[in-house]
Amino acid sequence: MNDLVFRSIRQLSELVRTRQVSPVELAETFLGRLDRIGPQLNSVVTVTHDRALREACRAEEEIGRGEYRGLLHGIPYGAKDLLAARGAPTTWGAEPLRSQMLDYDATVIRKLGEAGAVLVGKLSMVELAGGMGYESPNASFTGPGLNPWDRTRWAGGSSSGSGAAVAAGLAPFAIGSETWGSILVPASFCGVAGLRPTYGRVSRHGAMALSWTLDKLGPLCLSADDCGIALAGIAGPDSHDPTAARRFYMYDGPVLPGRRMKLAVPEDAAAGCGDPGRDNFAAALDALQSVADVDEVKLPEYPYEAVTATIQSAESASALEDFVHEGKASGLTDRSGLFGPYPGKAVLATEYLKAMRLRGVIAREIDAVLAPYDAMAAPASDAAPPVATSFDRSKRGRGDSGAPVSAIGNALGLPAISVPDGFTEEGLPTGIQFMGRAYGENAALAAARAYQSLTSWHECHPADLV
Amino acid sequence: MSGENVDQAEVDLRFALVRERYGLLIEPTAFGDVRRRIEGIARNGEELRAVRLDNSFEPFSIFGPHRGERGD
Repeated sequence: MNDLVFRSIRQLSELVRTRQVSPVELAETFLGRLDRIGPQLNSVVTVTHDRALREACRAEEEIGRGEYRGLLHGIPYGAKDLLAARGAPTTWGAEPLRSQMLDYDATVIRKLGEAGAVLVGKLSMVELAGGMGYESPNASFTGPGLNPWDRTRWAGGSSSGSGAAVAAGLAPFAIGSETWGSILVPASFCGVAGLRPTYGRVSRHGAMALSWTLDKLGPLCLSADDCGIALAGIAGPDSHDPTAARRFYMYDGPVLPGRRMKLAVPEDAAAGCGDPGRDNFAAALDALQSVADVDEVKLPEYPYEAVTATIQSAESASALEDFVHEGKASGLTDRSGLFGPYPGKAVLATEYLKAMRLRGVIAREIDAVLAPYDAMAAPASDAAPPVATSFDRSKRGRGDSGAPVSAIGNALGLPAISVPDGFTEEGLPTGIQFMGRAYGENAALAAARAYQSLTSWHECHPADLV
Repeated sequence: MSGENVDQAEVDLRFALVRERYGLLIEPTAFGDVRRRIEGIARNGEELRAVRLDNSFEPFSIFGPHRGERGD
């Protein structure tokens, strides 16, 4: 094993800071893996060789001059291909946009560059971030995102490449996006940590818009601690994004709180899960008892999934209207391109507004439920990674991504992190999520770090890639 | 999503609207898929309408007037 692979950001940054490893050596290591392994997993759109080596050389020079910028300086990363990056195509995973060039950097790319991080690749994704309601994992011009733990299985969507690349050691961390499940599900399926920040915590300037009031950008990493480090690099106000919160973020890890934590678990949180997910979640809660009081809570009764689905349907139908009217949808890979754009036109204005009104009511009630706790724990996904070639998403139940907590968290823009909590009998990862109050990333991260201090699932990696 | 328990007359109306407006863009073989998804949308609408809200509850995204400053 190359001993730079599967090291945390914190470990790599110490090697870089003390000049035991050069940023150029790091970049070359991960560029090589992206070139060699990325295509086997359908996880890469563009390997950004020139940019990566340019940024790595600059980092090396700066560190050599004693101008160390911080934990991300010289650390390679990948970005979901819905983020604009100067000099490389930004395809949104869609065949009709294979050649789309956006000649600027998304704010997250710019901020990571300012932190000294090195962009090594643009990573594959479900076309249009799933905006057509894809029905098969084969919904990207790069092919179905394959799971590093079993290449017959799906990596999850829509941040497929971001999850797979981190799990396969193709990048120490990656940026993904979530509208409803698109960070937490790939993180869970691929056995890595994935953080969905509070809505507005991270600027979306330069990111494809799928649903303006639901879209969030966040990191996928090897550990919860790394997610905090990466979030600190991308969070903050941005004059280019009016929805970006005027709040600054400071990560408070890695030290754990010197007190017992309090966790809430919704009644029947794992009811929709298959056996392995349910059993692993129960075992995770047992483990957490040593560091936290775990209370079962009853969630108020609201049509959470109808709220989130209605908002997403209406907003995505509008956001993608020009793409559809230009006749591009028929060029998509998944057959949903033939019909997916049109049902959203049937959402009534009063339904959208009712969903937005309910959102406010639910936000206040759920905040009251969460207020006494550090975080709410629930399974990150209702299922283990399905077979990539035969999975039919149209036959899944509504909300296959940790319902109803996922629907609540996304509708309300609450932060959540998924970390691995075990494996199925077939050796496929499962995940537990910790969801916090708005702007409560540090509390959710602390709960996840506490769990990872008790377990070693996050230190497991696919044997053939180590 | 199942269309069970959804008012089929309402689904028919919504489907007719979509077919009228976008029918030429939709493969005829996909009309069944469009209708299936519209059933889901109609069911969501029914679930939303079933919750009563006080008249004063506003949409959560509140519009704010804009006044440019320093060339914004």
